[in-house]
Amino acid sequence: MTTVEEQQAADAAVAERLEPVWEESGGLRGWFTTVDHKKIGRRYLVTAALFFVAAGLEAMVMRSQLAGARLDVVSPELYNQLFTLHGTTMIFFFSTPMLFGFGNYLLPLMIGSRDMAFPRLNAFTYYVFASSGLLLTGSLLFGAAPSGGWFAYVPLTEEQYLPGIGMDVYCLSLLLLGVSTTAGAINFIVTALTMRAPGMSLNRVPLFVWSLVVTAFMVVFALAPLNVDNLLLFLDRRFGFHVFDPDDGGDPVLWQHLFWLFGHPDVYIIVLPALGIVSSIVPTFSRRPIVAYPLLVLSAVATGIISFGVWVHHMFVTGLPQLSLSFFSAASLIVTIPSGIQIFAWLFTIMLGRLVVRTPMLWILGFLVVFVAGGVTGVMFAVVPFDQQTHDSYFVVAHFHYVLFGGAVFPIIAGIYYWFGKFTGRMLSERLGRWSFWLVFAGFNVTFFPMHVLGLLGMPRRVYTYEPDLGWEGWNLLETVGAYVLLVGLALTLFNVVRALRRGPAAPDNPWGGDSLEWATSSPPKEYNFPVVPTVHSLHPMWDERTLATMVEDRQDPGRTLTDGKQAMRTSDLDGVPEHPLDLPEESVLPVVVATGLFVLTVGALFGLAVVAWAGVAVSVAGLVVWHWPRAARQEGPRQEQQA
Amino acid sequence: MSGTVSAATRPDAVAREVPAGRRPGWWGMVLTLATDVAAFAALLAAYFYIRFVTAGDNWPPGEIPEPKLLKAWIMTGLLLTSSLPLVVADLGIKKGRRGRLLAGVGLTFLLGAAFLAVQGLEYHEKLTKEFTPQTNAYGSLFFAITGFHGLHVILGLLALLLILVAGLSGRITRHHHAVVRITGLYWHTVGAVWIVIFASLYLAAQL
Ligand code: HEM
Repeated sequence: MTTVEEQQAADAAVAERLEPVWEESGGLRGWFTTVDHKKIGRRYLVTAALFFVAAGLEAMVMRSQLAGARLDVVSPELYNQLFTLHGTTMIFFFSTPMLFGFGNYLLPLMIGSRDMAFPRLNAFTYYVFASSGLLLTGSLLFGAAPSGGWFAYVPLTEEQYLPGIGMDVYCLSLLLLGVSTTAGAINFIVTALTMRAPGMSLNRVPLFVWSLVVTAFMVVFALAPLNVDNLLLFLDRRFGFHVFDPDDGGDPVLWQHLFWLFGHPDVYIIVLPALGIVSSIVPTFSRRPIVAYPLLVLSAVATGIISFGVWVHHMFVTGLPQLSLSFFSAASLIVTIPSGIQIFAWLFTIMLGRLVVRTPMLWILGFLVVFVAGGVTGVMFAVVPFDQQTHDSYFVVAHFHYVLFGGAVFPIIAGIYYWFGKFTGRMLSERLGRWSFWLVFAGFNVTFFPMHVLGLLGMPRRVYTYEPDLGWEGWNLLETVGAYVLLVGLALTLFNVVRALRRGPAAPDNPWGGDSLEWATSSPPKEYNFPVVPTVHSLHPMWDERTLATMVEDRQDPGRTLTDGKQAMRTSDLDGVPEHPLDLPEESVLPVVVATGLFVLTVGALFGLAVVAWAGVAVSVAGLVVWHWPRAARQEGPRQEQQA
Repeated sequence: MSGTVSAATRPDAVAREVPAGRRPGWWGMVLTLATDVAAFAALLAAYFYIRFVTAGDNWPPGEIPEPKLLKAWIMTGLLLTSSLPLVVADLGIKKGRRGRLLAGVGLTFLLGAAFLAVQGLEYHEKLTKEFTPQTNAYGSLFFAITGFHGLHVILGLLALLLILVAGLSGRITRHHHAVVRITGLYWHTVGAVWIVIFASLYLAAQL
C-alpha cells in the first residue's frame, strides 16, 4: 500500500516530465499557434455562441417588425436579408460548429486520448470556420447580405433576379465552411477510430462519441452535394454557366435535389450530437447506467443511414411522380422510429434510476417536452396532403423551431451547464440557471406555439408584414412578447457564464458524479489531459474501480505515461488493444497561414479580383507544402535505429 | 547493459510486437477521398439529371456534335498507366530502394503531366470550335466536371513533386514512407474517377 504522500509524489514525478513536452507558447503568438484540442474546442464554443447571439438579435428585429400589422421597423429588403442570415447562421454557423466545439473539447477526453489525431488540422478547421462566419455575418453591415432564404432556391437566386454580391457571399461562405466542417468530421472519425484508451472496445465507447462519429460520417457524404450545389450556383452567377438556367438547358429543380440531399441529413447532423449530449447527462442525473446502450448505438447509426432517404419530403409540392412521393413519405415515417427508441431509453433510464434534478437535467427535461412536440408535427408532414396544405406557412416555422431549438439549443445549454466546470474550472450558479431555464422554456413556447395556429390560419412565412384585417395581429403580438421573454432568459445564462468566469466557485474534478473519462481529468484538464493513459474496463470507467485503479497503478509504466515526447497512444480500431505511441505535432503557425490563404482566395473570388485570389492560392499551397514536408529524420529516425 | 534493457522495454519497442493497424494519415486520406468521390458523384448525378430528366432525346443538345474520342482515349491510357510506376515506387521504398522510388514517382509525374497537356489540347479544341461553358448547361457541366478532375490531377502532381524532392534529399526512407502510400491512394482514386468520367461524358454520350 502506498501512502497519500507517495501517490502525490508519483503524480508530481509524471507531471514534471510531461509538462515541458506539452507546454505551448503563451501570449499572442500562442494564440495563433496552439494545436491543443481544448483551447480550440473552447474557441469553437465561444465563436459559435457569438454567431448565435448575432442570429438571435436578427430574429428579435424580425419579431419586432411583425409585432403588429403594417409596422415599419425595417424595410422589406432588409427583412429578407434578416431571415436569410438568421436561418443560414443558425443552421450552418451556430448549431454544427457549437456541437463540434463540444466534440473537439470532449471527444479526446471521453476516449482517454491526449489530443485529436490531427491537431494542426483541428486548428485549421477553426480558423476556416471563424473566417467564413465572419464573412457571412459581416456582409450585413455592408447591406450586402444574401436574401434568398436559407435554402437559396434558384431561379430566384440567379444573377438576373438577385444581382449584387449577397448571394455570392452565401455560396462562398458556405463553401469555405464546408471545407472546415468536412475536415473536422474526418478528424473526429480518425481520432475515435485509432486513439481510444486501451481496453475501450467499440462496446465501451460513450454514446456522445458514437453520435459524433455517426454525424461525422453523415457530414463526409452529405456536405459534398451541398458544396457542389454552391459551386455550380457560383459559376452560374459569376461565370455565365447555365446549370440551373432553364432557358439554356439547365434545370432549377436540380438545385433542390442537391440541396435537400444534403439538407435532410443535415437536420440529423445538427440533432444527433445534441442527442449524444442528452445521453451523457441523463444517466448521471438518474444515478444509473443508460438503458439499452446497444439499441441506442444502433438507432444512431440507423438514423444516419435512413436520413439520406428522406430528402424529397421537402419537395412534395414540386410536382414529382406519385410513386417516388410514396417512397419518400414512407422513409420519412420510418426515420422517426430510431428517435422514438432513444426517447424511450432516456425515459426508462429516468424511471428506473433516482432522478436528481440539477440545472443540466432541467434543460434536458425541457428538451424532452419540446422535442417530442416537434416530432409530432414532423410526423404530420410525412402525410403528403397535409404537407401540401401547410407548405411555406408559419406552421413549418413552428415545426422546425420545435425540432431545432428543442433538439439542439436545449441540449447545448444543458451541456454548457454540465461541462462548464470542466471547460473553465468554475461552476455556474444553479439559481440563475433555473431562472434562465423557466424563462426560456416559457418564452420559447409563447413564441413558437402560436405559429402553428397562425400557419393554419394561412399566414405565409417570409413576409415582412401583413394586413390588419386578417385576424393575425393578436397572435403575432403574443409571439413577439414571447420572443422578448426568451431573450431575457438566454441573456441570464450569458450573465451566469460571465459571472462564473469572474467569481464562480472552483469546480471539483467530477462535480456531478459522471461516468465517462473526461471526469477523470482535473478541472480544467492539463495540457496532456491524462498523466497516465487509463485502461478501460467497462462502459462506465468512472463508476468502475478497476479502471480508476489503472490510473494510479500504471504511473510507473512508461507504456502508459508516454513521457518520451508529445505522444498519444495508437490502439487497435475495434478492440482498443495498445499498438504503439503516436508522435503528435508541436504548435505551429501553418494552420492559420493556410486558412488565411483560403480566406484571401475567397475574398478574391467574391470581388472578382483574380490577382488576390491567386495570391491566396499561393499562400495556401506554400503552407501545405511545408505542412506535409516529411520529417523522417526527426521523428522516426532515432526510434528505428534503436530497434535495429 | 542497463541501457539495452531499458531500450528494449521502452514503450515503443514493446508495443511494436503487436501488428500495427493503418496510420491515422491513411484513414484520413480514405475519408477525404470518400467525400471527394461523393462530390464527383453529385456532379455526375447533375449531368445525368440534365441529360435524362431535363433535356430531350437530342444529346448533346443543340448543334454540339458528339464528343470525339481519340484524345480522351489517350488521356485515359496515360492516367491508367501512370498508376503502375507509383505502385513500383511504393513497393520499392518499402524495401529501402530509393532508386525505384525516384524513378517510379518521376515517371508517374511525367505521365500525369502528359495527361494534363492532352487535356489542354482537348479544351482548346472544344472552346474554339465546339462549345464553351457559357453555351448551355451541357457545356457548363462538361467543363465543371472535367475541370474539377483536372484540379485533382494538378494537386496530385504537386504531391508527387513534393515526394520527389523529399526523396532526393533522403527524407523518405524504408521506415518512413507513409507519404508515398497515402499519395498513391489519392492518385489511384483520381485515376479511377477519370474512368467513370470518361465513360459518362464521352462513351455514354455516343449512345
Ligand atoms: C433565438 C430565438 C429564435 C427566434 C426568436 C427565431 C425566430 C424566427 C422567425 C420569426 C423566423 C421566421 C422568419 C420569416 O419566415 O419571416 C425564423 C426563421 C428561421 N429560423 Fe429562427 N428563431 C430563433 C432561433 C432559431 C434557431 C436556434 C434555429 C436553428 C438552429 C433557427 C432556424 C431558423 C430557420 C432555418 C429559419 C428559416 C429562415 C428562412 O426562411 O430562410 N431559429 N426564426
